[in-house]
Amino acid sequence: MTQGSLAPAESPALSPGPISGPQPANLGDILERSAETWCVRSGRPA
Amino acid sequence: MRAVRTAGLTAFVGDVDRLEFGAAPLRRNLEDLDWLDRTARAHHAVIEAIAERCPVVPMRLATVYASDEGVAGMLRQRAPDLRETLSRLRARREWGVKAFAAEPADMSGTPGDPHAGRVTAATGPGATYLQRRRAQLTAAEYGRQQAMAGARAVHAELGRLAVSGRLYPPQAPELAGQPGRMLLNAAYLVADARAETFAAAIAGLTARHRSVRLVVTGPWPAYSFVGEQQAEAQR
Repeated sequence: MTQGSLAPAESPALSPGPISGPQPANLGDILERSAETWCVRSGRPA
Repeated sequence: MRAVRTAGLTAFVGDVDRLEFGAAPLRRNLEDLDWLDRTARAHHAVIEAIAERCPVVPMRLATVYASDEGVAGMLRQRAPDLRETLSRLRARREWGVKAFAAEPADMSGTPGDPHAGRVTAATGPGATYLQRRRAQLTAAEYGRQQAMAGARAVHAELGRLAVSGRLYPPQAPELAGQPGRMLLNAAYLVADARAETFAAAIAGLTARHRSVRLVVTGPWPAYSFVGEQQAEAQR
């Protein structure tokens, strides 16, 4: 089984490394963006 | 992670355990906050890393395919839509902006508050108490109205600077981790070339609207603007 995200084929090969830049403020910020369906179904976050 | 390439597109995929991501265990795991926290942050970290290098269309958390062939089939089927989205998101990032009603201490001396310090001499302790209580309620209502107006002004100005904007429901206080009521929970798609202008606008709004406290997150990969319904025409 696989899961992932999409990018143009011409993009450079990716190797997981340290993440730069500001981090999200909280889990809610991530979930409302990446798991909206779950948030709606579960009645969360608000 | 590894790449699945077809139709001029690349999907970055990782193997997951059927015992963890199969339909039934996934339903259970999505109700487990520790599992969800760990998985969502890992998912986000990968998307963030890709976004540092090129435009990316984030897949929804726990999007599972049975095989790489399934992923390739999805790429072929959605290729025109995905290319259009990637093109639209190029050199653009998402900024998160939340507005919270400011605590009374943050608003002390707010210009134009007609109720500040308006407790006048009254006769008797009961009348004094009632008058003070009435003044407090009036000031609270004034503060609430000011905060709502401030949040609307923030959204209006940032919306003008952004390519597109999207509103999320306010987060519950325990999730937001911030004091005060959340009045605005918005995401804005901002061209990289306007990022400094956008940040300066937020600083200006913070100074001008003391009835709200702004919290900025990001810039994010453009999670909130990948859907077809988020076309620029809907600004």
